[in-house]
Amino acid sequence: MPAPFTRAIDGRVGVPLLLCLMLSACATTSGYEAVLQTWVGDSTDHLVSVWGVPQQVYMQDGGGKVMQYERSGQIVLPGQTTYQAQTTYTNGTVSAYGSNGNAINGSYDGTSTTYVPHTSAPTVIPTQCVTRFTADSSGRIYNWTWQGNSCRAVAPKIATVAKVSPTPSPVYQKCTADQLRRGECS
Amino acid sequence: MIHKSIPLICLCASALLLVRGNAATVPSAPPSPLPSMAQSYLDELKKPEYAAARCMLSPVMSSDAMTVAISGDHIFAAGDTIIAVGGEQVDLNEKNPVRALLMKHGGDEAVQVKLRRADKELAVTVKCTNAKPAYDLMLEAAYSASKNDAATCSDKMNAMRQLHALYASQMSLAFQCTRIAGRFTNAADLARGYYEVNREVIVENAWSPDALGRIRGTILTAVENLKKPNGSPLLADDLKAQFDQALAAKSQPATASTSTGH
Repeated sequence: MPAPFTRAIDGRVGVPLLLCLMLSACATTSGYEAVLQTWVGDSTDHLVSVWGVPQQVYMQDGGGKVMQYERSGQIVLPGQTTYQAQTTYTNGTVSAYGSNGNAINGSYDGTSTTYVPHTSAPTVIPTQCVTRFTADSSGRIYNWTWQGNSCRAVAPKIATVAKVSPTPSPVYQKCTADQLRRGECS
Repeated sequence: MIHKSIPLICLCASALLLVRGNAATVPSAPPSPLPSMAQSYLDELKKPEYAAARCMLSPVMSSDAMTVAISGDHIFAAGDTIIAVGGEQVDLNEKNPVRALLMKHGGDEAVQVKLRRADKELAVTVKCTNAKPAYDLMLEAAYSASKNDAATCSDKMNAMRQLHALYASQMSLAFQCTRIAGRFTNAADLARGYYEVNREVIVENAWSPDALGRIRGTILTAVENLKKPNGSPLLADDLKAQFDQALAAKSQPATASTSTGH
């Protein structure tokens, strides 16, 4: 009896799954969002050094800016070839002359079928991905959005931090700065 | 120009805690560094002069407390040396000479600042910002840190960051509060926070080769820490490159500025 895992990847669903596993990961929109999220808190200078100069920059009131990256292309799906049956009808008469000079006539008819290939026009699918990063006046990226049908990526592998169990908030007298200056808190 | 004085001890504590914070096998939690990091801020900002609305300018100053490290506006530029405020010369005997002069002016005044830029003296008039909200947040952050309330400290530091860019020592406190509050959700963010603190240290010491020499050990330790598992080799290399660039920029161009300055 095969092991459960072997069975699970068997068959039509299993092949792409196996491919994904072999490639470690597949490009997805959530993977793309995970990549974008790694830029939150980073600087626009660093972004430009890695992604290059954005296609558009919109300066906001207050000094912030929106940097837009655009990527477009196309996927060409080749046309499909189908074979169409083409039937040819043939008929006619033939004559032959014997050694005595008499003609002998005969007729014939029949059909023949050939299969003619027809290839449809290729399908062109335009792809586009527009990504916008929003940064504050100090150039710190704090938000992103994306739009399009090809915003996909393999999620970056992010190591997790060893869990720091936040210590429970200590109980103490909360004080304002002015109370502290007046010596009302120890 | 909020608060100057960079206890490198804080940064060393950051370095140690980055490593220890990632070690899953540490049997017991290390003692919290927050109270000791907060003490200097508590001592300073409790003084009565900080209760009044005083003048604050946007730049982040270098470790000499006179040279602009990061300009927060279009008036100052990195490398400017402030030599007088409101007609009074900067007193080199003061621990924090520019701030001492700014504290003599109200939060809504316009002050004349004399500065030296590329061997030329310039006088600019600058509108002050009221420093009190930022000083208050810093004091409250330090107070909560002294009580090991990392979450409140982190919140206050984030609020303060909206009012004025943080100095390296303040970034270090903010980083530790955020880390201890358990708010770094992945190793990449933790490494980046640690990197940014150390990058700021370089920026604030880039004004002189001697200052850069003094932080060399701190930066090389940070580079090594970033290379460790769960760190970021890319950020480690970048930090080292920034340090080398800052050093190279200060070792050669004396000739460039003198030859073009006259």
